[in-house]
Amino acid sequence: MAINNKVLLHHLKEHFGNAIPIDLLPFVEKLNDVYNQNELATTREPDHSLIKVKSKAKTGEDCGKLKTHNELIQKASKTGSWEFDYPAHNPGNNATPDAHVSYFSEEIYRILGLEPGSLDINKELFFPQLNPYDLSIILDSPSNPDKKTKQYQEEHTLKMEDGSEKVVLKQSDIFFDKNNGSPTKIIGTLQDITEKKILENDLQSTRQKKESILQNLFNAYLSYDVINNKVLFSNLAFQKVFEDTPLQNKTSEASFLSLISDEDKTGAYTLLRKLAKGQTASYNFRIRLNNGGFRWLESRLVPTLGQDGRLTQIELIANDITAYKQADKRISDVKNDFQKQLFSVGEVVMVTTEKLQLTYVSENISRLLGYLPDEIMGSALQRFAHYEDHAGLVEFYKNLVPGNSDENRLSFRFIHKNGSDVWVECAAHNMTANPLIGGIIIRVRDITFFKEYEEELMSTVNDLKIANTNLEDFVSVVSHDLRAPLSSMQGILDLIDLKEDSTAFSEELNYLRDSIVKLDSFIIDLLNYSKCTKTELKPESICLEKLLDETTNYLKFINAQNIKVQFRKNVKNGVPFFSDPKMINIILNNLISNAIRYSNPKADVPFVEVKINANDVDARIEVIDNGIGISREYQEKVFDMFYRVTDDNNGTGMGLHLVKLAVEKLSGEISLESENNVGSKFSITIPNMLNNHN
Amino acid sequence: MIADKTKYSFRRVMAIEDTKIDQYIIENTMKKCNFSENLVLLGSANEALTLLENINGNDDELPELMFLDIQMPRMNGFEFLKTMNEKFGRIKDKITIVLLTSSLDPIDKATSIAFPNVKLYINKPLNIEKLSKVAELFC
Repeated sequence: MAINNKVLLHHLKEHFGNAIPIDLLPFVEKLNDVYNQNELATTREPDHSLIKVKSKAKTGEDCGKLKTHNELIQKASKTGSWEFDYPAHNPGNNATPDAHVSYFSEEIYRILGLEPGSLDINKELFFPQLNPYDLSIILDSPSNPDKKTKQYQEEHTLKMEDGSEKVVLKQSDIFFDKNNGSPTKIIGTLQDITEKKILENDLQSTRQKKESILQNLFNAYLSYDVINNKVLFSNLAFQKVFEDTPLQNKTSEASFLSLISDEDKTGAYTLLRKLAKGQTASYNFRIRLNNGGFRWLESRLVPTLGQDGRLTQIELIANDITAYKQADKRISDVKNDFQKQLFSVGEVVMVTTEKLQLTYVSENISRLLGYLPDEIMGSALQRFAHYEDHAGLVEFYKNLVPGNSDENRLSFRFIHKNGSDVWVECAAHNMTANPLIGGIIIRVRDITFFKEYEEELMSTVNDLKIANTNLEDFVSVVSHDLRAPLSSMQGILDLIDLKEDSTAFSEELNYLRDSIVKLDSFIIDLLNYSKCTKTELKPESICLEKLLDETTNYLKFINAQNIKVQFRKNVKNGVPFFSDPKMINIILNNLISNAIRYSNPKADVPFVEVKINANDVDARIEVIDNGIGISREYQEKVFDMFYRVTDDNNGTGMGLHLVKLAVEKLSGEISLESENNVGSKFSITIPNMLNNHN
Repeated sequence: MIADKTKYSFRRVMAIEDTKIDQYIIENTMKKCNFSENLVLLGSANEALTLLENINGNDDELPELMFLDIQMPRMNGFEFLKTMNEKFGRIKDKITIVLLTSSLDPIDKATSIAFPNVKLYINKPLNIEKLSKVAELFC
């Protein structure tokens, strides 16, 4: 029985580690002794077996015990031992050395799946078990006389008869003859390490799977050893998080806190304290980018505490939430902008219940009413409205129908905190059905300025209306009270004229009459002037022909020069014509009376012709005469106020100016064609005010 | 144009005029042209209403023609017309009304159209030509 002590000892140590079962300890100690001796012995001469050495020193009883123990150890460690004796070299014989197996322990048989001692050990059975390298040594040994002891160790797989496989570890020493260098024997062990291999493989594959999962995890993963301040593992996502940062490719050397930006370190100390208590924690922190910006991480941290309760390891799983944070900030920015917009447009936004209770008020309420939102939140809206407007406001609310998209508007007065009235216009929507708002949304605009302006404007308009009425009264008074005495004077003159003895005064009376007529016509002109410039245009349906007839009837009484002037009219006005008859009257009256007054005494038949052609759009009025005419040089000036071409005392210099004013008042146009001693032609176009007429 | 002294244009004419000078003109102009056999000159609308009340039922005493001023104190011409038409509906159509006024206000002229018994609108001063026109129209 021979066994390699060193291999066995090594094997035992490897199998049990430092925890060798206590009942084996004495044996191992012996082995150690033997091994040490053997180490020395081996260098001198091949030591064939433990047994041989022991047998010199120990009794047969000791040997038996040792054998039993050895078998027990071999069985427990699933390690068999074997010895192969190499026959003495026979030079000249090149045939395969006739080696033979001298010993197989029982455990070898078991490992090979055989009944102990059931087979003779021969080289056919043994050679395939050898390392091919060893085999070559064995076969070629005669030519390699300087070979020394050769140890080897290898793993290989055994195919069993039942188809299963075993993994075995084979270790052996080759011993050589010190004198001629030929191998003398090979002593080795064979250990069944199938279970160990399976466990190792399982462990390996589990570790690989775990790493693969962590590596491919979308979340950044970091395992950090707090005791030794080193990164145990970090996945790809974690490396990616640190792209474009000062820590890129250096995270494995970084301390845990250096991963967190300075801005968020304060929170990190709190975090570490929490982790040190064994609590898992969440922490959102920033990492500084090369460009000065930040990347936001949302992390969950799991601590591992050692047996002494100290924090040993931290597992961190993190998400890059920068985009989310940015979006969040944008939303917040937009919200702020929106608020600013609201503020800048001055619209206050309120939300109330249907019972007018305020549930939301925008910040800018303070600018409108002097109250802070908190001061009025929860109160009833009408509490801040002018008492005269309470009823109107409540009524307004009754008309707000849910879901009606129409905007309801109301103007009313708020009372500012300082007591002053604030005129507002509000637009309200009933959005009680909208879960986001759940109330009546009111947008309020300060219109105090407009209201004040409007009130001022209204008062001015009223003043103007009063002034205008006064003016019209004045016109009426003038038309009667100034003219009445004049007409009485004319009447008296007419009566004097009828007396037989009045001829003595006739010259003086004519001067008097001329002055009265001039004064009267001047009063009439002034009245007309006020009509043209101060009074409102009052369009109505008129008959141009009738207006013309009235004018000519009135003018029949004016014929100062006693020249018979023929009157001709040519009227086409079959359509309804709308205009202000007072203005038309001023135009016709002045133009026709001018034509009569300035008729040409030398003409055969002095005449004045009026042509009127009216249609839906406008009326064209032409007043043509064969009178004394107006020189070209005066034609532009005749329409000026108080401009008089002739020395005729009867003119006031107002006539044509009034015509021009009246035409302009009617938005019409006037033109003049005239030639001295041939005649004049006034052409007027005035619009049909059909559409302006209410 | 002096009318035949023996022949009058109208038998009975009434004139309501508050101003003395205009009363004088009316009276003398009418005399010159034998306009009316009888002229009743009244200084106010109230006097006219009283008179009409007194002669009620005696149609012979009703004037054929009535000259009426518009601008008068207390009751103006239009107020008189309104009252007369309401109070004396039976006789209102038997009197031809001529408005005699110095007003050039078109509103006055327009208002007069609302009274059907107003047949003519004359601007002051009254003279022979104007009276001839009236005679021509209503005689």
